[in-house]
Amino acid sequence: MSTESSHFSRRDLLGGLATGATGIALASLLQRDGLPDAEARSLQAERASASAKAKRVIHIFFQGGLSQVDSFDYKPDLERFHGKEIPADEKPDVFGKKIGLVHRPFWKFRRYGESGLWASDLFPHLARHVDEFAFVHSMTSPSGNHTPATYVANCGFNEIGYPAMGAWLSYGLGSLSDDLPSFIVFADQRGLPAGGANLWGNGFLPARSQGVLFQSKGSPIANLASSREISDSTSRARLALLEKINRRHLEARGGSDALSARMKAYELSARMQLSVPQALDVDGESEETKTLYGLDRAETSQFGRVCLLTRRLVERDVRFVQLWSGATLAQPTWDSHGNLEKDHWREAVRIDRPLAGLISDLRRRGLLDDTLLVFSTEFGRTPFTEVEKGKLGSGRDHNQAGFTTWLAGAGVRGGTSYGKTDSLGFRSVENVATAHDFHATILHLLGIDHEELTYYHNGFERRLTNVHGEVIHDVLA
Amino acid sequence: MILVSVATNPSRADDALLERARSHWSFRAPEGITPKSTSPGARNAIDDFIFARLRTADLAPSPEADRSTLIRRLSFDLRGLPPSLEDVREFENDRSADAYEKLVRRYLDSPQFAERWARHWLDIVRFGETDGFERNDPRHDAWRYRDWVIHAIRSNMPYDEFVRLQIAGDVLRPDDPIAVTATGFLTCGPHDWIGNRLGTESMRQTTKQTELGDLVGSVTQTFLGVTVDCARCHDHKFDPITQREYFRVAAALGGVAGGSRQNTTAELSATSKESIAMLDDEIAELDTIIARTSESVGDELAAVYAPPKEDAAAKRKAENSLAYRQIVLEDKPLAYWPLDEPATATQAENLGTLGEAARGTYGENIPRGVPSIVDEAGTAATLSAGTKITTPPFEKLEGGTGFSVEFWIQLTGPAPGGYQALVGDGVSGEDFCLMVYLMAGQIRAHLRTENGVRAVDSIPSLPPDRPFHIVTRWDAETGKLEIFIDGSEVEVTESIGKLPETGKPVSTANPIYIGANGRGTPGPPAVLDEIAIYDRPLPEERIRLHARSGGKTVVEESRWDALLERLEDPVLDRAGKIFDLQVVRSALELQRKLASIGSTHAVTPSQPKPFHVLARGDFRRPGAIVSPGGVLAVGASFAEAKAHDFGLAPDAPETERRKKLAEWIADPRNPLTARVIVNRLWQYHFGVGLVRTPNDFGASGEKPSHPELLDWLARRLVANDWNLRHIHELILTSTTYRQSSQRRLDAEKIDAENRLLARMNPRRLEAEALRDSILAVAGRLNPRVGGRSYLDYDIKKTGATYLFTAREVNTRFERRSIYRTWARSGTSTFLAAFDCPDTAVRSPRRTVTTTPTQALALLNSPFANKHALALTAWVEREVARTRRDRVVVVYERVLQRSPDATERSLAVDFLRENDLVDFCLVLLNSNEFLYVD
Repeated sequence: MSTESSHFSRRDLLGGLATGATGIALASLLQRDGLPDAEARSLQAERASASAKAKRVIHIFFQGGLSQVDSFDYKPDLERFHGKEIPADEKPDVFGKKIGLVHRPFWKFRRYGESGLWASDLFPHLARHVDEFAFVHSMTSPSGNHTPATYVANCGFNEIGYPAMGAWLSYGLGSLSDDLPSFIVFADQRGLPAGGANLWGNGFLPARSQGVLFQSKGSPIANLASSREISDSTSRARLALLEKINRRHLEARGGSDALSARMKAYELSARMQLSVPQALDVDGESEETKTLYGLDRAETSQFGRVCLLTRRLVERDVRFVQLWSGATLAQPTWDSHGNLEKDHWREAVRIDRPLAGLISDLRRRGLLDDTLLVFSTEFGRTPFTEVEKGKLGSGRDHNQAGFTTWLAGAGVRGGTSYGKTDSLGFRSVENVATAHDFHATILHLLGIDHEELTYYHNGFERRLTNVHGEVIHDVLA
Repeated sequence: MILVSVATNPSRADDALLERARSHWSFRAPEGITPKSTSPGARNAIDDFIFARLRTADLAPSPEADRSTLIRRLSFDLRGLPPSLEDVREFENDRSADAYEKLVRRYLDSPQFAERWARHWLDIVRFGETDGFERNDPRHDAWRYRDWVIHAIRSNMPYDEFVRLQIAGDVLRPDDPIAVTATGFLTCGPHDWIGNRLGTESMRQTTKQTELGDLVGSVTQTFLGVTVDCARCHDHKFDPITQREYFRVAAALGGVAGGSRQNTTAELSATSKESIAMLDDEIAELDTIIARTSESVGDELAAVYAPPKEDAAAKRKAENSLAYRQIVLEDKPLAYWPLDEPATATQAENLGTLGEAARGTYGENIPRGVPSIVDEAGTAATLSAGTKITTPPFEKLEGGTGFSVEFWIQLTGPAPGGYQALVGDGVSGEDFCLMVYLMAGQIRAHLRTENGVRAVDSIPSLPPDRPFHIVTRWDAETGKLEIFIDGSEVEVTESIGKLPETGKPVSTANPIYIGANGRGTPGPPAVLDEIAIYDRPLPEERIRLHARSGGKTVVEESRWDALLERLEDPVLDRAGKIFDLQVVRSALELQRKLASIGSTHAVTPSQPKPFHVLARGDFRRPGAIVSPGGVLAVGASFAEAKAHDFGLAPDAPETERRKKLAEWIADPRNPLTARVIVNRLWQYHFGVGLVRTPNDFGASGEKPSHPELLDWLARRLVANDWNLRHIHELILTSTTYRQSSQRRLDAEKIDAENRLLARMNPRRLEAEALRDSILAVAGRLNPRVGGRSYLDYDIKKTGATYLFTAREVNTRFERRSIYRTWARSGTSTFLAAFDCPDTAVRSPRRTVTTTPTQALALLNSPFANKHALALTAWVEREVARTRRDRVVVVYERVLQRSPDATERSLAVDFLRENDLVDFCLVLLNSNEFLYVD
């Protein structure tokens, strides 16, 4: 895939689309929204399907910075150091520049499951699924600033404008579904994350690979229904007339794959108009299921609904669904500088039960076998409090030096931990990992060699993993 | 301190680099090959090159396309808009030998050509009007760079000048606002405000190095087609560019920073003043022609289109002092301070209903008696820090159905940072009911209802040296809090509170403070005039009237809007020639505005520290010190001239660095500069470049399909003093360009991708061209050239973060898409569906995809439906009683041709059961509308 001839044929195809050139069976490529180009399909998709453990991905992102030391990275030493200075050999380089005294975890840790992994009371429901989880406790980020760090965690670069992981997968693997987008995003209902729509953007990849923002209420996507009321018969008559006009136009030009593809797109759009509302209609779900997702409780109903819709979408073979928890832009959510106990608790309560419900539901429907769950955050939080030296505060600063992300589901070795932070949970010290490693691992589970999924742009064969990344084999089943 | 750059064995290393460079085609000087034989049918050398290559593949070129295809092709290629039906007919019937050439010249002369091709350039430089990242601050004056690009293309600026000004315009011509504006190129990319300013020193350094790398990428890819930015962490993997050279280029750009630059009248050079005077003459002359033409049109249209006559304006000025007062009093203000009493008066006059109770007392330091900024006869008050007018407390300031606060303001210098109080009743958020502030040049309306506090900020900020009419208006019933500038409602961001907030207005017994608040927060350096307070939301038409009645202000920007409101749909057709003249006039105005005062987002440089080579690009690992310089390989063809060595010390002044860099890139001997730009022109004319990697002419880029042609064009450009228009004309008048795009099965077998150009490439309209064309055929395209961008967003500000949610439909948005505010993360659903690139990404070539999302957007969106309705309304009103007639008219309007018999009968059948609007929509969705043959 990195040879010159092959990358040019990919590029040429795009040129072909632009110019209507033929010679390659474009029409067949474009019969589904989101199909990648010829080469990615022939090489990537076929090879991927052979070695893929996962067909689809659900990505839950905690924006603002989830505290590892208060959730899943258990550090008993924090009890000992509570109210003390962080040991002198640590030279913290932190965003807010204030290094107060160390604070013990705000929640009690317990062991769970057969694996006996530790989890705190912050996520009492999720904790029961630790046997499904493979934690990476040694994550690091090149940035301690929300937006660049969130770009790194999602797009592999700390700059704006690179394709998101979901866009890479849509591009490389194409869509499994004929009439649903391949990359769907649910933003936190309180607002967009810092970094905005670029976080699910296609960057320089073809537009069809971009994430489609779904609203969980009202019309899920833009323009699904006509903005002007029209009858079904007019709707059908319009498409019929358009087809006839376009057919004559096509025949007068001796045929053209680009023109045929546009005609096909109208058929697909009509199908989407039916299938999207169907996918999002939860009325037929049982009460038991709704309760499982927390739809019956005020504090969990919003995120619960998103989780339930997510299951319905992956069930219909949507390739990548992304759920955002936290929106730095809306209000302090996970970003708990001042009062971690209050802020983290409020956020955890919203999502803990729905996410646990989602995992249970996927498992009992057999979907966990070929669906990968990814839980990540842009960085963690410091073991010490963010307050003047010598004082004990109640919030924690950004921590890019060490934090936790985890995987679950298809191809994942559940109940495992990889990597370590130091005894206070501050700095990753063992098997230090980066977003590139984490991304390489995710691509691997989908049957993709991260070094082979490339796209030429302004002098570079670009990759999600830049020029880095190693698959973390220890978390694979 | 003298700093010496250190290098190991420079000469031997250089020799190795040169050897590598000379083995790669693009680093060698363009070859001067002229085609040997003249091919039959060839019109110029382009055809000779293309046809010779076709012959080697045993292919013949395609015949010339027919006239209707050619005019459509030219119109979309050059103007991004469909031709008018009249133009199509005229061209089809023009039997003169140079009919085609005349059309080419006419389109190249049109302002729409500059708009269309400026958009291409903005793709390349990833022009954005907000910072991006977390805060995503708007850049209110970034649009001036866009206008500069339009101006440069319209005036056919020589390309070397175009390059030099964008890199160092502020250095080369410091007293020319046009040149300064050009440096917007350096600063139009994303900027991480937080990353540059917060966090620790190491975090800030990392951000700065990343942004500098992006800038090096922008400069070298845009002008040279080399990816010098790929050599930041190590020597370039594919090209003979060393890491050291990356840091030399970085050092040349190391002082670049972006911000608002204020040009003031005093700094204008004599040349600038002269060119402004000339432009004024041209505009005046055009106005005479317009006026004359309008007379001949002779109906209501004429009155609307005609510029205000000089004597009428003078008459109005004389009358309006009284008239303005009269108009205000008609609206029964609660209180009104015209500030027209003698400067010696100690009390501010009040003509409002509160009578004596509201008569104000002037503070001691407040200079008054300066000429009014509203009328000819009156006076105004000058504000500066520490001065204020305080009225005695009202018995009760009580809102009825809301409040309106009105005044005129002219800043006498750049708006200071922070906030300054202008007019209000309060001391702090707790006890006032209404306040108007200036916030870094923006107007903030602040009020308190029984339900809480609300504030909104105007998105536009006020430039100095020109009076503005301001109204802040709150409707207690709807909760709407709005700001009007010069009679037009402006976009606002919510800064405090949330919408909607209704409820009873609170009343207050505070005094009214003018030019300060009760806490003593000072006012800005400004002249304030004609202040009025109303106990209700002032109706919009009254606000417009007040604004228009101020004699010194020409409300030019809103003129087109008003005009379109009155005329609605059929403007394009009936106004005919006057309309075209007005477009030309607005293009002149654009140039005049650029040449005169204003603020612009451009380079605000500072002296950088000497640069080190950083190991792995890491600022914590500095190596040898480097001098600002260029890249040896790029200059391989003139290495002996040592032009890449700028002869500068590592601590050379910032201005010298960019000047040398600009000169080196624009050097006629530089083998890449001319090749890169002629390839871009070729690409936009044919859809594909001779080199298909327009930003990468290095080893990982692609080789040219016709290297000799590329070189020939590059040499022609330089030999013709970098005259781009010359290259456009060569391409457009070639036989190659005029070929039919009809499918060629014989050619496909040999050349599936049509690299050899045995036919013309059919192309789909880009997102903007599609949107603009829909507006045009619906008769809703406001053709004003240049000026402030329209804001098609709902804007919300939370903390320090701006959120832009794109909106689709509003009469204010009915301008060409290039005038959209290109906010980062402010994707427009409609444009993005049609592959409009992200403003964070350099997009030297657009991808073209086909998706169901596009079908949904064109069939269902409010935008498509609104304009299908507009087209329908026009058809039904204008013509066509029978279905058959209507079908013909819609075809002519949308596709600039008449339907054939089958098409007519298909359409008539459709209309038996369905509405005309749905037929219009079908044609707007047709492949013929979206694809250009």
